[in-house]
Amino acid sequence: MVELASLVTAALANAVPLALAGIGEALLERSGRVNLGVEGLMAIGAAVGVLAGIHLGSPYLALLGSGIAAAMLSLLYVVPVILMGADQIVAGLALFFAGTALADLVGSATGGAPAPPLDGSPRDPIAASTLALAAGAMVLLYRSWLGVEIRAMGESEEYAVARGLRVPLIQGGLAVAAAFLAGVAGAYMALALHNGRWYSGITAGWGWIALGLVILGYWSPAGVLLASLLTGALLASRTLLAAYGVNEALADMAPYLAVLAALLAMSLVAGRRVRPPAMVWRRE
Amino acid sequence: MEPLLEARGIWKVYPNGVEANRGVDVELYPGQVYALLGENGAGKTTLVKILSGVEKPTRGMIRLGRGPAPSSPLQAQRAGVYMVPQHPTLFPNLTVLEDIGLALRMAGIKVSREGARRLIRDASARYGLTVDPDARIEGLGVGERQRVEVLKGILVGRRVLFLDEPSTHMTPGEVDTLVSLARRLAGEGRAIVYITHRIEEALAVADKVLVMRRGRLVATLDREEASRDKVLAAMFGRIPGRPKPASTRPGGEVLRVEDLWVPSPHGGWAIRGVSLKVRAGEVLGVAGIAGNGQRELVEAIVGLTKPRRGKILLNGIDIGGLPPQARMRMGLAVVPEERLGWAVAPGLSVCLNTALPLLARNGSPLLLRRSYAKMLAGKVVREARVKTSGLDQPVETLSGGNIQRLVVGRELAAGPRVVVAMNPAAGLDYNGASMVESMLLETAARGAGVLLIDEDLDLLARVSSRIVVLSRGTLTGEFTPPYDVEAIGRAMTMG
Repeated sequence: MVELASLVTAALANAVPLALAGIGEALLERSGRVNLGVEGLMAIGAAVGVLAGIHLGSPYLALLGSGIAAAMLSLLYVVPVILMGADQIVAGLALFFAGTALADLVGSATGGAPAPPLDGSPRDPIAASTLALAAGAMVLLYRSWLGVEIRAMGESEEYAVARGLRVPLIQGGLAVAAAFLAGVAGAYMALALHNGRWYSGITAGWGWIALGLVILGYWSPAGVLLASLLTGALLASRTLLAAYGVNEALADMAPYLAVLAALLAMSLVAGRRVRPPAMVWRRE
Repeated sequence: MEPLLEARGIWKVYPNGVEANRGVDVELYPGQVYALLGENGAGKTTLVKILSGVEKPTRGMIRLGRGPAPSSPLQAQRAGVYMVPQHPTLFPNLTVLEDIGLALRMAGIKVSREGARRLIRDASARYGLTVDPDARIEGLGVGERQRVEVLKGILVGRRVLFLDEPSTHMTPGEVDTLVSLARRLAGEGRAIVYITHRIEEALAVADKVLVMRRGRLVATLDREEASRDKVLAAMFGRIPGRPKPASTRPGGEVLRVEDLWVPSPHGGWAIRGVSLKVRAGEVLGVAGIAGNGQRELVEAIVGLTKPRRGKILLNGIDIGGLPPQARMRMGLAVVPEERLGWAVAPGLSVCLNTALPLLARNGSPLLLRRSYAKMLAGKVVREARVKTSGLDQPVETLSGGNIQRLVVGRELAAGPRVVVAMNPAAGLDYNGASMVESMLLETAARGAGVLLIDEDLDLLARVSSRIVVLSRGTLTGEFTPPYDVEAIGRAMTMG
């Protein structure tokens, strides 16, 4: 039972950064843009989070600082792509590489010292905030006119421009907001999942996983939250599987296989009713 | 009385060098319906886009009441100026309520969801435009989408409402309803600008008829003084003559269809045992109401659909099992109903769209000789009188009429033995339609057989050597000139 309780706790802690980054990206993609640089933004968030934590002493100020740093870095994506029409795939990948490299620079300044950690338990206010974020994003997307505007431009940018929707403003705003959340997610990984210590490669590809969760959650904030919980649990169960004597490499693979299966099930069940934003993913 | 909208000396030169508007002056007064007429490419749509703030004029002055020009569609909408586009620009993933509500919000009309629902319900009851506010746009047909657009126009365009070729997707009955709706809206104190190239519709709807030609406003006629001939004269600078029907004696048989059965994609049969012959030098017209198997007949002859039974012979050779390309190489030319995507690749240049299909008929070329391609394309563009700014212009930027001229010109330039054309003049203005008619007749005169499947009975009666009627997948009558249009009409509802 103790094992199960700790598994649940770990699953929830894992789900928080995935959901933070995933929900931000889901909103951005709903408006018709993809930012592939989530991993880079999380990396800079992790490094800034630890450094800021060491100097400021408060993990919450550290999270805030990480969000701001990632939001500023995201201008590398926003300015060329949204304001100047550059290719979003290339810019997103550039952001990933730039963020990762910059994170190593910032992170090495921590000298391996620990920042005051977050406990990463479900009682953590960040976990509650993540829930609130998902609920708020649902209301924004489906109950507000701003949400209608976001979904509209994600369906056809051509019509959106013709009809005078505020395409660059909203896409730019969402890109910056999503980057803020990704930065917080990265800092949360370092402060809650890794005891406040930074090391190179700390985000371990979770930014890429968050991108996948947007698809698994079918571009819905609630869906992304559920997908994050599922993936968080699967990632946590790796140690459990290993404890039961499953080959370690196979145990590492398990979460991804399970996500693939879930993706398949999703498209069979919901594929006909829910549709991804056409500007992001055309399915004919 | 002061005009609601006033424009002086509007010039618009597009980056590709096309001068779409060349010094247009216009004043719009409340309570008036203006019909804006002109052939394709005369500059009607450009003018309206400028007046509704969608595009900026290269030079010229616009005033809205006492205020300055709208510099964006939003500003125009906030001032109560709105354009209902020719093709609906609704977001498929939204509901009717969301789409209209979004437009209202953009126009500065702050409404809640329920407020928008009430506005939609009231307006749709008041003007007889039935829409379900909670329906998803993607589930609506073209007619319903147009209704949503008109409703939106009524709600947003409280002062000046532009209707850009609103009858494009409408049946004659719906057009009558729209005409009386436009008059009623004007009666409520708006200025309505009704863009069309159908003269009868313009005369029915308008208080004033504005005629554009080559970027200029060439005539402003009051309803009383406007007549068909006057309008035609203003549109074209002369009254165009109609082509004469094919008079050559038909030669040998070039296309024979024998007992053709084609299944319908919706189950059952789309074509049920059709047999017909086309001889060299004749135009065989196929009359009928859309949806009675016309599309399937064309697809079977072209090779896009496999018939379940029956034979198709081209010059006596059974082509039933051949792919479309092989049929083209054997002398079959096709003018399809849908131009973009079917007949042309929208993003490619005029030159490639013309030359590649021609070259491909003699086996696909390994290397493209640009000069040769340009020569081929230039010839077609000249002969079909396609208006372009150059051979490098992307086809999608041509007007609808010009695209069709290009397609017809190209298909006929291949020197075909058989031409299959489906509604080739649909959506074209008077001049464009006449041009297409003469080109088909000329092809027949040169010795090809033409199979013309068209919904326009008048057109068929003008050009066909014989007419057969297709109804519910079978041929229900064959007629020879002089045509008894009523009898043909009766045959169209039999079967």
